Amino acid sequence: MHAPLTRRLFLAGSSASAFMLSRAIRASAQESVEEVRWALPSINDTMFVPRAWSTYVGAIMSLVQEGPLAFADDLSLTPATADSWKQVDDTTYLYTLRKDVTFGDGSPLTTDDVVASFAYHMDPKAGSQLAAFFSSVDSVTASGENEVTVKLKSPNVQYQYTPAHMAGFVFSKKQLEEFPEDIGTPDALPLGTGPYRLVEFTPADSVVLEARDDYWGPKPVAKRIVFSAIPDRQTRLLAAQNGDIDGTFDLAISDVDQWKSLGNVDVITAPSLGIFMLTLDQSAPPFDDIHVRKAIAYSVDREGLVKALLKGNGEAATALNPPEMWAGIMSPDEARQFYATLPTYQFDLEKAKAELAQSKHPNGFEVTVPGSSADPYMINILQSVSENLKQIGITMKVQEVDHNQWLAGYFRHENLGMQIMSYYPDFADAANYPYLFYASANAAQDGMNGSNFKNAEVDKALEIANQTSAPEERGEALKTLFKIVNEDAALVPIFWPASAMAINNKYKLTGYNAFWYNIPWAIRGFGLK
Amino acid sequence: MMRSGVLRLILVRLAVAVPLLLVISFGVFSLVHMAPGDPVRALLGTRPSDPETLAALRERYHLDDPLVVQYGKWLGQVLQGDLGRSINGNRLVLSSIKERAGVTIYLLLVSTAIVLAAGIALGMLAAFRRGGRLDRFVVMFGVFGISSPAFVTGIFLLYVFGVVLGWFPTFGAGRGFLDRFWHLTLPSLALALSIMAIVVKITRASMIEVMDRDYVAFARARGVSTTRITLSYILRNALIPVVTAGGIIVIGFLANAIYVEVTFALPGLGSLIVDSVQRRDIPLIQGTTLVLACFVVLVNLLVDVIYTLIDPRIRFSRVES
Repeated sequence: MHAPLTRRLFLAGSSASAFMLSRAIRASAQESVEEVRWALPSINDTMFVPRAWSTYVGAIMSLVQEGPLAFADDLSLTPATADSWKQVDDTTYLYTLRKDVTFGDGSPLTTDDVVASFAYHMDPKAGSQLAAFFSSVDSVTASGENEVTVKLKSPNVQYQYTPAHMAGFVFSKKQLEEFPEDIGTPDALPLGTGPYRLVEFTPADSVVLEARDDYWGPKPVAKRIVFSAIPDRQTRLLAAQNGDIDGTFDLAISDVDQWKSLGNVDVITAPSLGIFMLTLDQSAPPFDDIHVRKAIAYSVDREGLVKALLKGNGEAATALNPPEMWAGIMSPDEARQFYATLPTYQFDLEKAKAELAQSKHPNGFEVTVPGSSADPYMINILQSVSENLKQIGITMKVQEVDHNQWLAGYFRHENLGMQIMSYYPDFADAANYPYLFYASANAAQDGMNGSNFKNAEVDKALEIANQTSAPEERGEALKTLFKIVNEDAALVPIFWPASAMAINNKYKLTGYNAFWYNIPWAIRGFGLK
Repeated sequence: MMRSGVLRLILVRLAVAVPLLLVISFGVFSLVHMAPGDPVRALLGTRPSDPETLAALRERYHLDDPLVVQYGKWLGQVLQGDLGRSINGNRLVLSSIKERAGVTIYLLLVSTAIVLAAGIALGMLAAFRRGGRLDRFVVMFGVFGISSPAFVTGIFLLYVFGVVLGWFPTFGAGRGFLDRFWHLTLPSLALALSIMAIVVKITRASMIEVMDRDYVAFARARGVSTTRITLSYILRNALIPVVTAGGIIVIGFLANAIYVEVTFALPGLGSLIVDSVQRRDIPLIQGTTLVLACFVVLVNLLVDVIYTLIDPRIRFSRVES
């Protein structure tokens, strides 16, 4: 017991990070817990993130693997296996690795492991699902005994987050080479440098993690974590009521009241940084007409939807970025104040009628909108909008299709008309969503810009926001951008939902945030109350 | 004579099964391709993608080849005993099926045992008390079971026996024989209830028919004991239609197992099929449907063989034809 404590304190001191120190002390004051049983809606067939990039795999693997950086409780970047990092120039990042980091099998972490892991995503033949995060990267090299240098092709602010989420997980180079096909399956359990070791894996069923004594960071409170897949929402609820599980992530917000009434669990919510929206393809009639777009924007009862579908656990969206996405540029409240200065199209059917009357389609038109049957809100949102549109003379048919059909249809990028989309981010950066949904480069097949919105001034602003690291400059550029896109009703934001989890009320988890799938949550304030 | 007849039956049926399986696999293959959707998109989710990686993935899974070429490549692999790797997760399809089949087979066996034991007993009871209150209750119970979807029955059983009484676990498949039995009791019951009515009704109807036969009346007149009449005279003959319904029952189980596995969080073949279809994971869909089709063919063959063995009339007519 004593050895890890001293080492922990020593490490915390040597990394000169008050953040770490406070964590170490908090953890040592905790009693340890033998076993925690955690439910997830599904458990994948592999735990190798490049082939199974999903939030549920992330919730498990963020405890087993980690990257050079991590997200802190406030979603900002914080050191992980790299105890320091710096941006040398516009296109060069330098990471200095800690010397005391080992993989779950005891082998030391080397710069070669980091290089091999990043290079894996960059090799198109590998088919990594996270390849897009490295598209701005030119090279990754071991530039010193403990130094890794990443060179970008051109300046890109968004790259800086890559080493902190699942794309930055460092794999064992030896394991990658030895098991190129089977890494991450039960035949080759994935190694990582995180606080837990993956010791058992039954695909689609369960994963067992064991706390590591030799972890460089704070000592985990839970000695074992057993993840089980429970796909049915009702079954998950019964299992929690029965005390068969200690917690779960990703509750459907519409079920939150039911969970709260169980009595033995606490429901924790946090802004998800996600957004639901309608895109309106302005490359073709009828949505090429700004009055039609404004008519649609006025017809969405955002407050009503937040109340009815989210039971108040969320916020009516007045713009694309959830207020928390402006991290580093302005506070959420400042963002809300800024949005109040923009045209935001509060629900008003009279104004909607007036806009439609001014358009080239004063007598309305017909439109069919596909929505995913797997999403808890999409179909309900569309039905509500359809009811409202009926009153102003627009016939909107809601087509419920299976998730993959909806998704493939959106990305095929043909005859888009009106579409519904939801998006959850991988990091909190104010330029992320605007780039995906407003950049003309993304108004193409496999791109997210379903509105086919193209505006030179917006592209220019995005260039500044993506290439400049000075927050004020980025902020100004993005503010200009938001004025243009809201004025244009380029897409119709609906709501920013909260994310919710449940935990048995004998435990607490203070570090829960939007990135529960990207952070080692079990060492972020998890413990007995 | 009899043995060669059965052998011939088996050989002929197996020979017919080969083109049948080819038709099924090609049919499923075409259906998956006709269905809107994209396996690579399922892999990437709601995310922007790197164009080169996208192209590499499409090439790896031959997604840009014409349908017939894709099918040919798949079939060539299968003939070498290789079902390929899944698109989602890159696992050997055969390993996934092997892992998942255990739970489903266990589930089917326990459910079949419940259906046969309880279904036949209830059917007999109803037949003996024909027209009485008990008969009406049994029939009503069966109709209730078959008309409520398996996932509703499942949640109900979970609530009563898992949460309120706390006798059974609420999720998962368990480890080891006994633990698994404990975990699979409720799912098997839910599955059995969804199909039991068929066995109850067939048993009841054919019992009633056989009970009125002359040979039963004659046996009674000869003073044969009631137990012997019931078991050897009535039940044996009454069970022939139940055996023939065996095929339908097993296939019904497979269809309902999909719901039951999801409700009770069991990693079986049913949930594997649902997942693979949702993700348009072509190698996995092809592999699982092929295995299930083989299973259905074998079950039907087995039923026919048993049927031929217990009913001499059929045996002779078939051999003659």
